[in-house]
Amino acid sequence: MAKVKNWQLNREMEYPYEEKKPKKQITYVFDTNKCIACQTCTVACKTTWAAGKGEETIFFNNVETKPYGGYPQKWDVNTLKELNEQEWGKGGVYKGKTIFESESGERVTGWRPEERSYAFPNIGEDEVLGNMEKGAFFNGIHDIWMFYLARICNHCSYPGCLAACPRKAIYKREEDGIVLIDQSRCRGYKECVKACPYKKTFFNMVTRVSEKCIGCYPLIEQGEQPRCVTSCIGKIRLQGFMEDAKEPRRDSPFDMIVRIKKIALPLYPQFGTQPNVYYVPPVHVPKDFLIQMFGPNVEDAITLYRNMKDDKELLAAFMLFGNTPRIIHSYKAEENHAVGYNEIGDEIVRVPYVEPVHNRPHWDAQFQTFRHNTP
Amino acid sequence: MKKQFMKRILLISFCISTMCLQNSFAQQIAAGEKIYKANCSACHSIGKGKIVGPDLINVTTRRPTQWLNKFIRSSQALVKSGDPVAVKLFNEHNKIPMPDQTLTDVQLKDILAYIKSKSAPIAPAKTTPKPTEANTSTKPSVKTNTNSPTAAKEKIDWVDAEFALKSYPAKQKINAKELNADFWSTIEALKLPVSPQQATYPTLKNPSVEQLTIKSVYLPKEVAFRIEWNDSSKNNEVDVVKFCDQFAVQFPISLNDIPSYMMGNKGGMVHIVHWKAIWQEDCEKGFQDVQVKYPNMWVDVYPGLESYLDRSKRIYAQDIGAELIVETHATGNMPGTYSNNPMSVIKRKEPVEEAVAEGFGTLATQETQQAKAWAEWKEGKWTLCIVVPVNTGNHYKASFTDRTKVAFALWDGGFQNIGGRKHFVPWIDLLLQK
Repeated sequence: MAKVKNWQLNREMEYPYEEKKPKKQITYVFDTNKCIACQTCTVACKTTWAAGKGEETIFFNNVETKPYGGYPQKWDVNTLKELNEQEWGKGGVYKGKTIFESESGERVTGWRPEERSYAFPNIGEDEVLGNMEKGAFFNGIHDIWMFYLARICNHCSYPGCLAACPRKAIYKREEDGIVLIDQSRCRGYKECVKACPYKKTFFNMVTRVSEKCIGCYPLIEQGEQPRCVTSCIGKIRLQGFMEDAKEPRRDSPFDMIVRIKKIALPLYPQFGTQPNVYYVPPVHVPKDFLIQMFGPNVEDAITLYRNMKDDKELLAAFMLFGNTPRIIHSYKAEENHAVGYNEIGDEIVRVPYVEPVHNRPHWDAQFQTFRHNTP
Repeated sequence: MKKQFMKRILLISFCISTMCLQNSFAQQIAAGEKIYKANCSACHSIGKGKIVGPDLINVTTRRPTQWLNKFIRSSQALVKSGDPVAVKLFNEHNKIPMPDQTLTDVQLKDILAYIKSKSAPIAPAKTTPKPTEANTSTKPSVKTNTNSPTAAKEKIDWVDAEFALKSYPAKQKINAKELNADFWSTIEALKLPVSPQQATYPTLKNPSVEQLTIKSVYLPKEVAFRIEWNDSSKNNEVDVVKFCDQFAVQFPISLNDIPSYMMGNKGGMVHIVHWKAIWQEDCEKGFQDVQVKYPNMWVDVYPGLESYLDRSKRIYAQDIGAELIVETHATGNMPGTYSNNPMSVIKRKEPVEEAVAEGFGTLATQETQQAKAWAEWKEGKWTLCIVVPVNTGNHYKASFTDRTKVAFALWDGGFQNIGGRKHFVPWIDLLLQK
């Protein structure tokens, strides 16, 4: 095992291969507070990449309802159970064991889902935690809670799937850090299915080899964001790149959100794979649950999120979500607009902080019709 | 003058001491060889380059004995203690930890003596008695291939294995499907113990099969094996959490330099013939398609195949089989098949695949597939016949005259055996009988 630096754990950890950073790392930010679980992302992904024979139960992208939902069922709690109780130390240093460090006698600690685990992609939908007390009424704060968690492959910096593959059929692209399974090299040992703690590699029973989210790399190569990002009607997602070897740039929306303000957090960082999809935690969920899921910075992130309207630099970065299919490499917080630029510095999107209000007459003389103004 | 005289005395005394030690040393080497072959040879060579671990030639002069003893017993303990040499070695060898060896002091000495003997320019190993004397009389003498145009072939380094399987000339064409053909009952059977694979990740922790029974016959261009092993469950289903029963036969491609029995090594290629119970099921009953396994499934549409739907004839998307998709070349949504992955073959002709390998994780399907196989599971027992093409002139396939090495691997699907999680039999001798 090599020693590698995992910045999400603030310490070194063991990994079967030496640390080798891609030129730039594909990164996503998902704002859970804006997700309505419409599954448009799920369908966009499914029809683009996983509509074939043998892929009937495969969803590279899915949206589940927490706390009960999970696709495949119990994907997270089973891994947590494998690792057992672990601890975060002072200064956000993870004191527990990652999936690469457990003494299970395996290279990567994991578990195998059953075919049936994939049968209910939306189990537990909209189910809240706990029961309503008799006589309870709504007084402004919900006692019981649920939230939607949109999930894709995390294109981890230290992928569990890659570490477990005995054939080295899984690789991480040097140009953008996308993790792929070589479809001609895989022999269907399903070690990756066992090892991935997010359960985002899937076994195809017809081709008998494993498949996973490809980060829409044909789009990425054209400078466009993936299907699940651009199809999101709630505009909860943004995709771009980060280079964690370099000092954070204030003009990169990702460095600003993830590394400078730390408002978006990795999902189960304690697994140790250094995932590259970052989540703004839901503001209304009990802290204990959130800390287990997103690590120790949850409270700060939520405070920041609640006060974002006062932080123009951060607000501007969030304004860019869902407003252009192009990949944003840098941005600027102008007086009234958030402006996004592409790799060569051309402006590709300009979003006003406040949408202008248009008052239209009730009677439209041109089309001879009445019109409703829907806010 | 004085110097020369001293030299002579030294030389003489060295010779005398060597002669005195010769006998016990030879015994030590023989014992060491046995332990080495059972525990070390899968990952190490002596003078033939790196396999999984480093080449051990002259290791006894490179490192102190105490250090070697510590490393052999627990390399990881030494790595964790921060020993710079151990850490460097570990890093240089892809961080594959060498499994701990529970060996006595005497056994350690024997192994090191053996390695030393193989490293030395004048190898005392030549005086080593054969490890199992009972077997020697039945074994033919080493024959070099005189037809070979290359001189290199003259230097065959043949070491008798612990077990020898006799293959008898077949009197007729061998049909793999006739598992119980009369002639098999006349062939002598060999019982072989199998061990769990623990040299590399992923490992098989607990073995579920103890032994296999094997018989062999041959023709000029093929060798057939009839193998039986106990397996309480027949596992032939394709499923994310289920694994199938499998068996593999392995030959060295060249006898000049016998490769590691663990799937060969760099420069030491092996010819593998691999049978799988899922392929057996495909060949017996047709492809295990989604709608076959889940008859109540429903799917709205497979994009690109809409023209095959016919509501008037009640043909819906789930009725479109993988075989039809392959026939119509509409495999764009079947990435494995589209990429010509040999695992994703929909119309399989034989339940067996021929492959080559030169080390862990290097298995590659051969271009010419000639092997045949058939199997049957009955009352807790698999009976399998594999017919391996040999001496075909194809340089990715085994060729030999009257003897070679052969190794086996066995997967018990019911116990989640897959890939490296397997049982194995290291090289045994395969002796073609007249």
